[in-house]
Amino acid sequence: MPILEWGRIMVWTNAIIQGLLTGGLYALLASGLSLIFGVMRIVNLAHGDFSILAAYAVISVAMHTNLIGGIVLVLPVMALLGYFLQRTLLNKSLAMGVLSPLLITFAFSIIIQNVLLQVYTANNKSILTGRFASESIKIAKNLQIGLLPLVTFLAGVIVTICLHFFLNHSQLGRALRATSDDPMAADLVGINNRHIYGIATAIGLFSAGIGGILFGMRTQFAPSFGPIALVFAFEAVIIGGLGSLWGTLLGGVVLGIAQGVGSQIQPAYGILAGHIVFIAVLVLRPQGLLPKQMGAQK
Amino acid sequence: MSILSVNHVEAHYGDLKALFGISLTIDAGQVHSVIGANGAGKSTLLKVIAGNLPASSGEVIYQNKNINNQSAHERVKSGISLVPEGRRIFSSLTVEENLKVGAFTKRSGHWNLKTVKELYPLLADRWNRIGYYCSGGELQMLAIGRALMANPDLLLIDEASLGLAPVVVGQVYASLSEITKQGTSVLLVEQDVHQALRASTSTSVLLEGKVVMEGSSSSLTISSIKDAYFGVGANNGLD
Repeated sequence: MPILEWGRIMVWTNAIIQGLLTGGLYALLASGLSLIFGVMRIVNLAHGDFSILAAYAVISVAMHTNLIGGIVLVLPVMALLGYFLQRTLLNKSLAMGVLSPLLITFAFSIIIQNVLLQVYTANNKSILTGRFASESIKIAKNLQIGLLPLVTFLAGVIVTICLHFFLNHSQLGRALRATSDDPMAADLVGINNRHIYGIATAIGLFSAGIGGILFGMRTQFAPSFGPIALVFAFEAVIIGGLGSLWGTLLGGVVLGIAQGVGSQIQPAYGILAGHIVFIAVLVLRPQGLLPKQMGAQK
Repeated sequence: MSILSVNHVEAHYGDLKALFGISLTIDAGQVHSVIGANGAGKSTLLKVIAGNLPASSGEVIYQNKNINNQSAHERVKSGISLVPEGRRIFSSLTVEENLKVGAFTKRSGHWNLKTVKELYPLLADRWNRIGYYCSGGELQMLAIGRALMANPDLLLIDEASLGLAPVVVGQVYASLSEITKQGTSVLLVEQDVHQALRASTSTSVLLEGKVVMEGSSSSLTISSIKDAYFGVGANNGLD
């Protein structure tokens, strides 16, 4: 009997492909985190909680309208919420040193989790999508790609492409990068940093919202799920390389594949395998797989 | 007609007083230079005018309006651009992107990508290079070009010649006349006295945060400036 029989190859291929598709979700969660950190040096500890908040909000709105209506309404509200929080609390905290923004986002995290617990209880919920969540495309024997994971992955790629074009080819995007390089010089060319920071957080929470909603369609979630989503997003950012958009997508994919392969070895090893890859990258290649192509990070 | 007048301005860095009641006036379309030794308060004065540092007393009048309470980015919108000390070019942006960001306020006027490229042909050769890899001369031209992209009525230039090869200093100063030809007034801070006098119509000499001498650049002699520069005979406590 050959060691690599067809069935076994398909099982592992399947694990890798499912991991790759999950990676798109991590990239979605991570891109906003990366953007907020890149522009303002704020580590948004509530990033995962914001994504779970969006998932719950979609459940509530969808009850009164429908799923599409929920998504279309919730995502812009997430962006507005991001802009508002940045212009009110976070901008003030930025002037007070590095610790203040960290504490404020930590406070957001606690507040969101407890409000969700009050409103939605600790019971697991998920966003109902009807047949969409269970549809799949058959590629080969023993190899099927779920429609929802595929859409999730594509959403991650599309968000990355959109962000790429926004940051590199729009005046507002250039202003964002300029402010990230040197806020004082940005002020001197007429850029209002406070507004730019608001835009960055708005985009961050918008993409966190997309990630949270797709997460909520795939699996059951509870108010306490924010921090674990944050950990995955963090790992994706670090694996990919700080400040690099495509690196973040790659980081998400690598993390997803590590988890997929780990789960295939032993179902309990999935998350552990992700952590091991993360630590390995941190030790062997601390700048990440695709670091920002420049030496002048301040 | 004056475009800018600074009246009895004082400024502090924390508890440290840097400007002690500075006054000066710039006529529209003229080049005014501010010279003085290290620590005289030249850069501080530019920061106060550009809005990076608040004046603790006194007033900055620009186009007949008190702008004390305007932030730096609002002042760019009303036509004041600063070429800052150390150039402060956006290091991850290309030359082209730096210039495009310079036009963020969308003020209209003579200057755009094409005219800046004509003013500094060297930049055209470096068009897609990121700021991080530009040489000192390229950075200085880019910094002035970026400020021009906002089509300022008043251009503030801090130490244009600092750390540059003489031939590059010559090119940078040669571009000044092209800039004033468009009606832009220039306030020039400079350590190189000869260069400053040659390039400007009027000059103020700063010493320890005060104006110790001022006049038309042609009337000031090097020896009198030297005395003022080092506080000789100015009787201001520099014993």
